[in-house]
Amino acid sequence: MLVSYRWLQEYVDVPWGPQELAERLTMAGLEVEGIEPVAPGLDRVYVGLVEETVAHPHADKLKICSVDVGDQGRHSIVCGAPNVAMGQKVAVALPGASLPIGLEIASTIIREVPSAGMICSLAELGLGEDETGIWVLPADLIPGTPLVELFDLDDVVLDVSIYANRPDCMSMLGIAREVAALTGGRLRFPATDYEVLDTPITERTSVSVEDQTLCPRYTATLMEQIQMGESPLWMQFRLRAAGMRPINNVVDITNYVMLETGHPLHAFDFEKLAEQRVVVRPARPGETMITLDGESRSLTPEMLVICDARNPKCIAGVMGGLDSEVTESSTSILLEAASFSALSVRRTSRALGLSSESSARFEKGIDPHGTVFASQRATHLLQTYAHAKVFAGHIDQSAVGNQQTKIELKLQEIDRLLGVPVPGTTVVEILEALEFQVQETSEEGWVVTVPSHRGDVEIAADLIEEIVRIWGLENLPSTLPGNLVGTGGQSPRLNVMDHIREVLVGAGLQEAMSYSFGRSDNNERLLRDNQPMIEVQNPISEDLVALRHSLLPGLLTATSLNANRQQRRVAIFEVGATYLGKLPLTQQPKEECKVAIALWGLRSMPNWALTEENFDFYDLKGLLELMLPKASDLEWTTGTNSSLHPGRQGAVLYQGQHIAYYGEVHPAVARNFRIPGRAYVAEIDFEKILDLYDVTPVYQNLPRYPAMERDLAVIVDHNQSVGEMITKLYKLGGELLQEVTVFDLYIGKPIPDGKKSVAFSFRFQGDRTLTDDEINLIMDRCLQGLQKDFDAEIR
Amino acid sequence: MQTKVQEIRTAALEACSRASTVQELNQARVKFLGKKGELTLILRSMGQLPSEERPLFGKLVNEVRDELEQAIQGREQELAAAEEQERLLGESIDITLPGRRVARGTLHPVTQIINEAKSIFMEMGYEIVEGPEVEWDYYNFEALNIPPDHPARDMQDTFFITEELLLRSQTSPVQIHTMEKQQPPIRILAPGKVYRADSDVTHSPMFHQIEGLVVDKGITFADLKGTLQLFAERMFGPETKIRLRPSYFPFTEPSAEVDVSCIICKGTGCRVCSETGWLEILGAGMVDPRVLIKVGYDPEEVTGFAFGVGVERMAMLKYGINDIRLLFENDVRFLEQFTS
Repeated sequence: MLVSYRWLQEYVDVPWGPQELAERLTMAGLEVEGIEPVAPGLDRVYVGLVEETVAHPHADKLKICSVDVGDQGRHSIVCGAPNVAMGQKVAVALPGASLPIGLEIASTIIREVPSAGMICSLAELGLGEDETGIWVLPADLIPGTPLVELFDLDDVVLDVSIYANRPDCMSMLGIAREVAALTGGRLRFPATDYEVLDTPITERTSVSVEDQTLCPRYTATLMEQIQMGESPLWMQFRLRAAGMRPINNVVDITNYVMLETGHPLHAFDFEKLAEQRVVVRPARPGETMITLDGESRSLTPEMLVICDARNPKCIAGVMGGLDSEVTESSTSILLEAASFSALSVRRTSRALGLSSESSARFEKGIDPHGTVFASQRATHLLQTYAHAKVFAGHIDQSAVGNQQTKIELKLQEIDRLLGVPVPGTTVVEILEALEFQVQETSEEGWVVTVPSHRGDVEIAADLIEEIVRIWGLENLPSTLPGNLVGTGGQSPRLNVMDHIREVLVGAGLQEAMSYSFGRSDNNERLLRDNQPMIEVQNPISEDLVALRHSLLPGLLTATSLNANRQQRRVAIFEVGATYLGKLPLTQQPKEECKVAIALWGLRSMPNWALTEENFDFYDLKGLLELMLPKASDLEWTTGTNSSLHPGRQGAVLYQGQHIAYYGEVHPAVARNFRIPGRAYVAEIDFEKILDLYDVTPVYQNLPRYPAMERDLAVIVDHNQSVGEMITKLYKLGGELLQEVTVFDLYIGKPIPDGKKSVAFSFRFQGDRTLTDDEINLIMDRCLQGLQKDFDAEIR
Repeated sequence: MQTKVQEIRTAALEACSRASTVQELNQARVKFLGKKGELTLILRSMGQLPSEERPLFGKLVNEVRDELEQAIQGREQELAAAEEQERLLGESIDITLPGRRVARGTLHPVTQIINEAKSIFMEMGYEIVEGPEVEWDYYNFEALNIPPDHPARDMQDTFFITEELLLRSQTSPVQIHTMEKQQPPIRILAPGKVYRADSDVTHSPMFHQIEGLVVDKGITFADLKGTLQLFAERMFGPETKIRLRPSYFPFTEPSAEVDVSCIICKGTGCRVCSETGWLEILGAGMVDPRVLIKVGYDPEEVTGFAFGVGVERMAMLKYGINDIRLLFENDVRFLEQFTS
């Protein structure tokens, strides 16, 4: 809601400047988001008197005007406007002016004639659309007067954000009422008086409301002998300040009164209504109507329309029809002030994709008691500015009762909710200032009657909000909830999540975060079965449609982005949910947390002390080994994931259940995500590994006897599994064998083609001093085992 | 002979101090103190002396021997130290070269803010809870006093999946789940992802909120203010002030928008706070009695407060990030800046 500071003062005394007013309104719950001058860019624009005009010697359409600008001197200005004439008062922009449309004024020479300024049109001053000629000012203005000192052009506009529960504040009077409550001042209502003809309205027209649920009230006023024309300049400027475009006196007055009272009005060209009567009814199937904006609208029976004897003429509360619009040739108008169902207007506006100042108000709820006041106010202005002859009375079809909301309020209840006592006198003062009726029932309580414009107030808590917002939230003390015995903390699940993050960050990875929804072809891009994903109905981009099945698309997209931005190393991980559900979705999907890792490019950033090498499979495997606790029922096995390189991937099982896959990204997948070179990814089912972390380490006594170490190097076929060899060695090594590690792997000369050399290091330990003989025996057994099962030769 | 001993002593001490290497010193030791050394030989020739002089002479030679041995040992240590020093200096390296690089991992700034908030509230006895992101319309709206077609639904552009299921547009549904499952007293904090159909430099279609809820007998608006004051001080520093402005949320009554004194200019006014000195960071209020009734609580018996904080907004303010979309783009040059 754009609120003119000057205009507001018509309804209430404002003891504050615009800044302070903004501050006070904000602290009372009407947030002022900005303060803007109503007419910027009018410095060095003055009233001038055209003293003389002479034809330009070199151009037929130009005139040389001698303009008296009072204190600012006399200026010779070349002007091309067809309507410029001697004796006119005009708006003159002198050199140095910087007009709002972006025009810098300077002394120039136009076709060999000097020109020191510009005589302006309304459009050039940013004050209107008219650019056909210069703006001719009223004759009584004094030359040399700065233009901003006239017509309230030095006014400012406050941009007030109105919450959905306060439609009553979508009006000047509503804002003024808030100001009055804050200052203790009085509201001044605008004039509503007018003269009427002897003939009552009922002799000329009728209104039939067929659905009083959708239209609880319809108030019609009829007038004739309208003199169409422009509305007064001050009104045009105010409409403009409020963000509306002036059209003609009748339309402007309906808009003006809507801004003033918050009640939308509509004026029909009475002559164009068939049988000159009004029917309010739901639209019939197949009916169409052309709205004011020239669009043809298909109507449905859910929509309420205002009709004449035959056809819809207006979509109730949303927009009028083109063929009953008030035009230059209109002479009689029927003025509508109605109350429509907020829900109905909202649904109609949604269904048609059509919203207006009117629908914005109706869909939040309009005070049905306000129709007559708004009608009378508009009629007063129509008589004043369009010479309307008004038929006596209104037609007022109303199903609105006089029931009022009454709420019991106790002083102690206020204290209980706020935690601080508010004096009873303050409570009463605030409520009465907001036009609530307060009746004391006992020393500690009241019955409060809610005014009809405050449909949002239903219960005591609503009243307490009213009290505290006007009283001032700064008056609240700061306390802490007492009496709560602390049981704070988080679940083991969240602890494990934090722990995994810490481990991966400690290993030098950066935590990434991707959108939970992505492209609907992401499974295809991963070369997976195109199992359909859950999709949002109203996506804002084709990249954000389908709820992810995997974290990989996010991390691969990030890898691609970094690779294409000349980054040389990507080592990232993400912890987040995936969403699995049967389509069509009738239940909440399973939201399962996953952990994913992506490695690409350099293992370490270039450094003189490190060899520059790319990440490989074993970097990724090492991270998984670091992240997953050591457990006997964890099985590291081969993988068959279609997104991964068939020869470079693995899987991890826990208690026989698949918990992770990892490996090099399949080159086709890398191409789909535009990743150059090799990338490595892993994805772990977080939900399935939780109890792996539910282990407290148990201290093992440090060995008191020296360990014995042995090495063994063997040559085996290239495709023999070292992992299986290690398993075998542990089996053969017995309980004295503490650890087997692979300390060297060699392929190349002098090892024959198709073979590899693997060097193991053994560490034996017991609770006694071991002898060479017993260890030699074990080593022989190990070697024989490798020879037998793996065709190993000793190197 | 005694004179001879004195001569040997003088010569030996001189040789000792002249020795510039351990080797030279060893040669001197052999020359004077060895088995065939001068002092050894002269001791052996003691037989030539009259027997009454022998003890005295023997004593003299032994004294000289002790003295020389000590001198040689002292000199040996000196030389060893000097030699080691020289060797070490020869091992000098260029310590101005950069160190061997260790990759530094970072937590996402959103995670860091959530972690900070979690620890602040866990200390105050809050339990951290989670809730589903794909939510029923009922929990996201209806139970929060936002019936179908309520204008407040316009405040949030919701992503719908079906008529009834949607991506939660706020973390507030966790309030309802919690209250349905347990009886007061309740004190929870629920961080999580939320979704709205909006995208520009300050709006992301996915972002994070932290929801707080406290319900018990005697919980007041003043308690809410005190709690948020404490949170702001812990989060943004002890000088931080807060300001409550009346606002509107369908599920709290009274409601407030909470500003903190600008963390950039400390409240004097700057570009970040649009010269107001205040930054809006969260919405809060007293749980609406209609919501309490919906979950089967008695609003005459218990009251509660709730608040919701925008995590990205806090991260952007704290780290000076000017475009929210950077947070989900995962440019490593962005991510690596948030070392903690």
